[in-house]
Amino acid sequence: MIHGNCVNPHLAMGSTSSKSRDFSNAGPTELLKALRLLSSPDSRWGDADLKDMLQHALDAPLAPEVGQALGEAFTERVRQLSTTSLPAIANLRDLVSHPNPPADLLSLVKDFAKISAEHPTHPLPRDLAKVLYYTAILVARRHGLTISAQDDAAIQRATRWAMELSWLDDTVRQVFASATV
Amino acid sequence: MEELFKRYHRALKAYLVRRRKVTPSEVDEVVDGFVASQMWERDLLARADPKKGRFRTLLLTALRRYTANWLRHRRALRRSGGLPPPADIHSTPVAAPPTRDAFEVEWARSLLNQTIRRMHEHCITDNRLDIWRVFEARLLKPLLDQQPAPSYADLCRELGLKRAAQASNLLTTATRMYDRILRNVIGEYAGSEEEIDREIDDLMKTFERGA
Repeated sequence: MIHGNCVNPHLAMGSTSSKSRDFSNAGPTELLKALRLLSSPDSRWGDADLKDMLQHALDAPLAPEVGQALGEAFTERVRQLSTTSLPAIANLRDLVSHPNPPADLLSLVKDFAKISAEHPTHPLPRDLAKVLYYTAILVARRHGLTISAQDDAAIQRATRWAMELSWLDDTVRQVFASATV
Repeated sequence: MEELFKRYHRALKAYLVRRRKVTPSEVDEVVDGFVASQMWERDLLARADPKKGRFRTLLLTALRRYTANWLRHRRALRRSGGLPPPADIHSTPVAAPPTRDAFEVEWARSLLNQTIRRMHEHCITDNRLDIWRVFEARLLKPLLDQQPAPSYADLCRELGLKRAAQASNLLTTATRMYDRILRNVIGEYAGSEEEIDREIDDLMKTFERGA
């Protein structure tokens, strides 16, 4: 689990010297790439990164993850809903596989995913946020709950799209797979 | 204005040596003379009307004109015996990069070097070296060293990131900062947002041809 292996960032990678690397000897190819950095931030993450990122999102404590995007008031609300559920919900993975997930909590996760995809200061990669968004909706539907106005056709399109992704976690893949049946 | 010329000194020199046949021993004299003439006498930046072409183009046109006059004057002096030939008249210029336009390459190098230097300074001033470290590790070093970028998992371990959005957030913040600073650097000689966009597009097209 990624967040269990933290080290002191001050001892970490990267130089603090601006003279460590520069473009003084860069050729046209490198210069072109440097200018292209200005486009599409999501393209900078590969499938392996997205796989790790999804696992991280599933296993990280739910309240701070969601609260950071939605606001401090929601952190407490998520914490309350998580701890009063039986069994208690520590993270998104618990919520996805919960026997009786609270609709309000699924709705908050859906909102968190939507904001993460759209808001400039909470930028989960768009595809990852989209997966979390539909995961929340599908888990709700599986339990007969409605947290979205999306119709069946839209859900099916999203499901077909998600099933093509190579980096889906097994837990999440099962959620999408069950929606195709 | 002096600062602006100083920044693009290398680009002007590269152009003169590779395209205008000015010898390496003469190039400093030509550039210094050109800068002085433009800066004090003509104020090139003030005349840089976007409708008449980019500042970079205007600068090259002025430099070409100045150099032609300078070379003509030099040849006349030599013919009259008032000046010996330059010591390195037959020397090979500094190895040129594999591109048709050395001036654009040097210009872009200057732009990007200033951008990353300022970005690093901002990160230090704002106590946001986490942004710099993600930018350097994930984008800058792989680009310059042509090595694979560290994975998301490595970044999280190295930087002690606890939430999935953090690394993504840092990288997005870093690229926005890079974007903003690069545009600021270009904005010091390009007059408008549209002109900045055109300048970036133009440089990219040049390197697409040369890459």
